[in-house]
Amino acid sequence: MRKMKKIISVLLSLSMVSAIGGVPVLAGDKDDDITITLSWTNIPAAKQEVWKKYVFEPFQEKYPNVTIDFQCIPDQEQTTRVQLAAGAAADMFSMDCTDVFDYASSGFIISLEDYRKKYNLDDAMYSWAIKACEYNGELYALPHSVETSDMTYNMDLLKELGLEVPQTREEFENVCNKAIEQNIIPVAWGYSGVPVLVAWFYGHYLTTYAGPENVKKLLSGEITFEDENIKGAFEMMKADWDAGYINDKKSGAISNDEARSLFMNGKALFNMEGSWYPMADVEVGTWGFDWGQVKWPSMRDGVPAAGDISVGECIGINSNTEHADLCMELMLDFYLNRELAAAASAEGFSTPAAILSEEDYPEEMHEDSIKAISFEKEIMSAESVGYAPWGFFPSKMKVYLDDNLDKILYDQISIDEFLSQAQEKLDQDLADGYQFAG
Amino acid sequence: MQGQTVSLPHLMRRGEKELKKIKKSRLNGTLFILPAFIWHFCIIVVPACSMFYYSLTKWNGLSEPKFIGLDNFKRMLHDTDFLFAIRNNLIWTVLFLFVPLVLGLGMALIFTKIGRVQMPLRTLCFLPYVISAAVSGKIFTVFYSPYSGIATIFDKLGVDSMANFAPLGERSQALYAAAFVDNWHWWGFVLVLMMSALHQVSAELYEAADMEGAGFFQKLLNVTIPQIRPTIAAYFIFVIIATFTTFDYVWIMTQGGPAGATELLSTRIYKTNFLTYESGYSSAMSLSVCLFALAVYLLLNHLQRKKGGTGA
Repeated sequence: MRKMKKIISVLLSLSMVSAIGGVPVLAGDKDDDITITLSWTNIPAAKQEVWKKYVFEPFQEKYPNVTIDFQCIPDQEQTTRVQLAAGAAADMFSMDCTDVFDYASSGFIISLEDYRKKYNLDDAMYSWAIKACEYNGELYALPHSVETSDMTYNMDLLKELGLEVPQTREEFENVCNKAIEQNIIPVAWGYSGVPVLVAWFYGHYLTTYAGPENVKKLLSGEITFEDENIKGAFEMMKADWDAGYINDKKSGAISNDEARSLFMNGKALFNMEGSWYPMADVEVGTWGFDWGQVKWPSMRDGVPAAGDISVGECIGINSNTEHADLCMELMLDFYLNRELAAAASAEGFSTPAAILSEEDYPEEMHEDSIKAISFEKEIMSAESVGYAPWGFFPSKMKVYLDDNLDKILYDQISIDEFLSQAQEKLDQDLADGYQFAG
Repeated sequence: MQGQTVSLPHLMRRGEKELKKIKKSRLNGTLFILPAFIWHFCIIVVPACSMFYYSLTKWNGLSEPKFIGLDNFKRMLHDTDFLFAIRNNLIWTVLFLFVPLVLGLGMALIFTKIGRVQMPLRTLCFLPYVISAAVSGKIFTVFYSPYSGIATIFDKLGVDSMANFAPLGERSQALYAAAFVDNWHWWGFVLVLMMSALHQVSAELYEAADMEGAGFFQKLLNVTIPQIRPTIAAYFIFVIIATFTTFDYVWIMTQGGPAGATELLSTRIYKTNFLTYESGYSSAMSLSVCLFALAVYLLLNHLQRKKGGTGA
């Protein structure tokens, strides 16, 4: 009996040691079979189908031996970071442009300069999108999608209230005040549970009060947050919050989904999101009212109305992958086939960063898709275009702004204190080598 | 009677045999514990030691850590977000030390007196405990919404003062609103815990107290509570440790907002590590929380032993 006990305990110990210390046997590729893993944010099943139809299937017809493991995971950004640190990340993964600096400087993603030249990406894709994905002048991530942040409006409701889409500060105030009188929310916006959504809010005010040029100067270190244009943008934002223009000061109590539902159900005039909202986030034809998208109104004389542009997501290639060429071919076969990219876009795929013309889009398209695409083009090609925080702002400063903006909304800290802390973070980013890519 | 004589060499041989037996038995025991120990060593001890090392570095979780001594700990002393999270966490801990205990013990005292209906009522009270944090957090987020929650009911009933009830959007209410949900989930378990403790109190003590003419509160203070004190002490220790790692409800409902009103240590640490990518600093914060929880545990354990208990 005792011997038996001893044998059992020894076997248990050995199995444990082998489980921990043993080299894991990976599901390797058989002969020519190759699996490419692509890690993405958690998108709805219908959108995954669009990926499958327009990106994976055409590629797999070309390479039948390649399997694509498309992993759509919640908290993908954090997960990827942990996986990278553990050496277990996917072959390629989506990321924000603001992460390019960290990943590239740490050697986790490969330089795409050779592919840039080979595929002539500078001609095929938006130059500002390419620039936003550079580190030390070299391309380190592939811009996947482009988007604009703007003002979505409910035209039926505006007409019902006898109002028009505002273009100036005066018109904006007038519309908001009249809406409040009628018990209508002027601007629907909720950020509870997702603090980063505050970037839409301050992004709009920086662009249309301070102006893109001053934002550029700020991010290049030429002026500071104490500059009256920058400070004024935050002061006006706070004043509009206090006046109840922004979701009746209840944005911290509701999620973005709820804010969307307020807009969709005719309880709010405007929504402060952007092109991704009607194009990629809702099924086409969902809204049962006449809608449109315009630039955020000018908040100050001399600063034009404008929307913000940004790279929605970019794709990094894991420096550990053995299939970098195939990964690039997979994505570039899609981006560089303009008709294919346009067809996917018409079905709700985010607008690809490849330059597409109207002729590329299919003739048969839902009216909402046509509208959304044309609004996006209009805002993107306007004379004044702002820089969306999630595409252009340095990471430490942006994280500080996102994490602390509501402290000024809720009077926990003063605007001066907030701006001084933001400046400290910007100084750190600049010292770390951040270069404004706009 | 002739005494039994045993020679010294014989005694020594017997002693050696006994010693061998003990050694064998210890070896067997060690071998049985070894798998669990190896596992524990790899997933607890090694990461804990590495956390200690990283707490002394500036590290973003990806690149090479840079040794900076105690700078992270010094920074903590001036970090208002961290200090605010400590304050919130202390409020949270106090709420969880007393609210579920008073509710659980109170209801347990009632339930032990009510015979047949006890079981269905007990099950009903325990039910929230089996609902996952994600589900109950989301449900209560809807309840708390000013556009779809209980505020709309008040609005329809004409209770204007509550028509704008949106606790998750109010800095002064958000922490309590989130704690309420966690309490709602947790107190049923405390009820069951207290009921099992009450069952162990000897009926003779109550009879003796009755004979002395003790009233309800005298029996509660002089019989019940002293008798279940080890359970209450263990509950306190568990709650203190658990509240310092509370994460789920706050993360699901507010992510620490609005304006940091519901920020707890765990959410602050998570954000520092995964949003601002300051893994060295977040390690220092984690280490401080561990040490603090350990100190509280040792203190309570010491007090418990001093009062004649066995400690936890």
